[in-house]
Amino acid sequence: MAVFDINKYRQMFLEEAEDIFEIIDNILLEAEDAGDMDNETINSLFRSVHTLKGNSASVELSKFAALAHELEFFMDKLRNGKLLFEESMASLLIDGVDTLKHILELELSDELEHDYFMTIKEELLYKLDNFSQDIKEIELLNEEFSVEESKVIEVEKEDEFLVKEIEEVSAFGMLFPRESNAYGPMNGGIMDLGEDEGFGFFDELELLDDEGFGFFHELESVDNKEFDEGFGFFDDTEIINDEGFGFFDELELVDDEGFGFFDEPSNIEYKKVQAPLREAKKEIEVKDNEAKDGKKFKVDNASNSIRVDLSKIDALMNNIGELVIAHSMLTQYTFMMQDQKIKSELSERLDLLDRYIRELQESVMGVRMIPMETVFSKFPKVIRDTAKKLNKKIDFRHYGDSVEIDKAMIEGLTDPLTHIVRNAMDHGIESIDRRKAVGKNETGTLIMSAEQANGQMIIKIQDDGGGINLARVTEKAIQNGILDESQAAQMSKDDKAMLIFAPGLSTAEAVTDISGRGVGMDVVMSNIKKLGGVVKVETEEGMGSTFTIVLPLTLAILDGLNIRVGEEHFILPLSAIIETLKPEEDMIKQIGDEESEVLMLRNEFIPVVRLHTTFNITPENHKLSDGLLIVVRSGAKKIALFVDEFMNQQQFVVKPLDKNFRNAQGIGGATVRGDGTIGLIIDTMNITQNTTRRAS
Amino acid sequence: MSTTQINQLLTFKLGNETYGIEINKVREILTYPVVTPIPDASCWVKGVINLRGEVAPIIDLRVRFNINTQPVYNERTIVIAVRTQDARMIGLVVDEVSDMENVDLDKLYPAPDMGASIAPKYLKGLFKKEEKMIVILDIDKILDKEEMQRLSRHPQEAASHVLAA
Repeated sequence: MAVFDINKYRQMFLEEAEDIFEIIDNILLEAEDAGDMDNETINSLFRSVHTLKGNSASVELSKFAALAHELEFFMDKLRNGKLLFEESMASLLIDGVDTLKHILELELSDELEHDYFMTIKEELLYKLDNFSQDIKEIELLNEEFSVEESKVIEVEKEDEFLVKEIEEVSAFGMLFPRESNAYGPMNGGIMDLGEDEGFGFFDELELLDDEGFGFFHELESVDNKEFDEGFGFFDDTEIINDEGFGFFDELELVDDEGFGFFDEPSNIEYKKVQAPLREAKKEIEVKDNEAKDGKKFKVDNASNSIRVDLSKIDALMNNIGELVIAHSMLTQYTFMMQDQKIKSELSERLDLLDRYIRELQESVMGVRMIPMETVFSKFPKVIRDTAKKLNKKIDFRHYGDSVEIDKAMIEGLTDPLTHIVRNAMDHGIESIDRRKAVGKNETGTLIMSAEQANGQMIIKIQDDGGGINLARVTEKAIQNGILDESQAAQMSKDDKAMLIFAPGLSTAEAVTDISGRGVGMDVVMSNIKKLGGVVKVETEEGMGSTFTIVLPLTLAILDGLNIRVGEEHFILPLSAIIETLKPEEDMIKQIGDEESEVLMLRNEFIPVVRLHTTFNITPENHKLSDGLLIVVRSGAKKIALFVDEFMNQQQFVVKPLDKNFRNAQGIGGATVRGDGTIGLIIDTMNITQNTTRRAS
Repeated sequence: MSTTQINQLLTFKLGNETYGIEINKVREILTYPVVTPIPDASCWVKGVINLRGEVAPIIDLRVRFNINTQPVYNERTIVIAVRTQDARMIGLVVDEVSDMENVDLDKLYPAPDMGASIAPKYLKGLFKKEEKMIVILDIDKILDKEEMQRLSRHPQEAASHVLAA
């Protein structure tokens, strides 16, 4: 018998909660900016919090659920107009949601003390109540409003159909008639809606089903229009009201909370019905149009997607890799066949198979790709919080939301990006006073953009702040012994800017809790390198800085050049290669002994690394001028690798070497070649470490 | 009834003696494939191969335990692919695969500590079958991750021996 493992479901909940929190944050931030919130936004906010509550309760996070319930209750008041949205509410709600996240963390790690929780809850309630009291008058007005049907009709003049429906609905609501004639017309009106949204139910149903809520019965009862008195009205109203989501929301409310309309029957407000009705009408129109187009109405972005563990996709990729190899073995086998007729027919079919495998490979790769929006959407919150702390005004814009990036890369990318953003806000963008003094707009601008070019992903973070004080950076670097004065004198502006990535270098005078400890930018660099990318920074004093991150499109597939060193073959990532050349004898200089050769290329001296020596391979060529040199990037430096021959260029699926064994010096990973053997991928970073160690 | 552990062993030969490993560790048996050498590895790490989409190292147990330091590799050389406790896939080169044996792991003779080329810590024990002795290897100890990290990285001359060969 399987044991019910709550943690498994908690994990699922956590992943989902993370997404929902992000949605909530973004809604609230927008509301804070705009100082307003329309009904639709309030509704989706309510739904999000509601989902959090329901799902957390189902994974036995009772305290979290209780707190979410309070927020939901508050939002419900907003939603049905008992409270009017005020600017300061957004900020309060953002804090509330932060509290919620905090509680979630504590409750998950089992560190949540009951007393602490109660204090936090009281605090939140107190804040929320403040609002509720302020707006009591409005509430009162609303109540009046709600009993006077005629007023509603006045307001709703614009559409007679709707008015009629309101009348019907309200009549129904008021009287709870059970005779079929009073029920009928309204029922008919609603039924259309219900049918329109038929698939909507199922989507929702599936979702709910997945999470262990069972509303099947209720759904059926709606379908068959077998309402018991109370339910019927509310179900239907809510179908209208919430454009299809509400049905479940409300139902669930009724079901597991018992709070809401049933508890307060006197609060049945026609205003509530009326406004959403307008929306519902819009919805119907939309749906009609979409129905004509034969399209499925999109209920929710999430409803069409499923969550899949990345390891499952990796496993799929592996299987395809195996398929590719099996295919190439078969192809090789056909070469040995004698019968020409069978041979050509077989090759034809193998070509077909090849095409299918390629397509399969591409689709699976496609599954791994997700839009950059996922990355960007984390930032408005970070920026708001940081800006608040720093007392700066920041206008954040992002472009290229739909550019796709490998899911596996996102995790490694979020931290460096956050770091760059925080740095840009702390050190880059000046204080409001300072900005005014230099004649800039007091609101600083931070722009993030993503684009794909030349098979690479380019992410830019641009600020219009004060730029990097190069003189100070250089001075600090000399102080810290990273370079000496003569080196500094030779450095270009861009090279100096790159110094900020050196470990332990911070030009900030004050260490704040945001940045300034000098740990960070070097971590940014190493994290990006881990992803196989590079970071560049351009800066103009007084004008701002631009950080450019160039990443390979995917971690899993790499463009590489096959090289031969003696009898062995290696793969060199194309992204690392700057140029290749056959050196003339007079281009090679020696410093001291034979071990230290340098290539004099134009105005640069580039250290030569003989791969034979590094990898202990019997060389074919001893003289550098007999072989070939590949100038590659190795961190910020350049090195020239000595090889015997370049072979073909190819795409490789990168596999880790240390999964079953361990990492090897100068080797970054492995790949399976077409013939089924393993090829080793050279890590240019690692090779230099090796040579410097030998040199020192 | 005491908890008798009847285990099936896969037995194979290294040199003249018969050795055994638990069958549930064995993933597959293959002929010696084309192996890609690892630059800085010691001589008993032959390199890596593609084993069902994974990059798996090939270890020659004969060289590892000084049973045969000048082994030949041809189409009759056998590799036993094993999966360790911590789910690493590793190929072991042996001279030949012999048979399957049922062994009661509780009734093993302890390995004598006599400074043999295979240290007792790598052995589960000895098993006597008729007049034959089967040495039962503890594959998780031999292929222990830390141990592999430490031992498989060899001085330059050892590595050159592999690659120059």
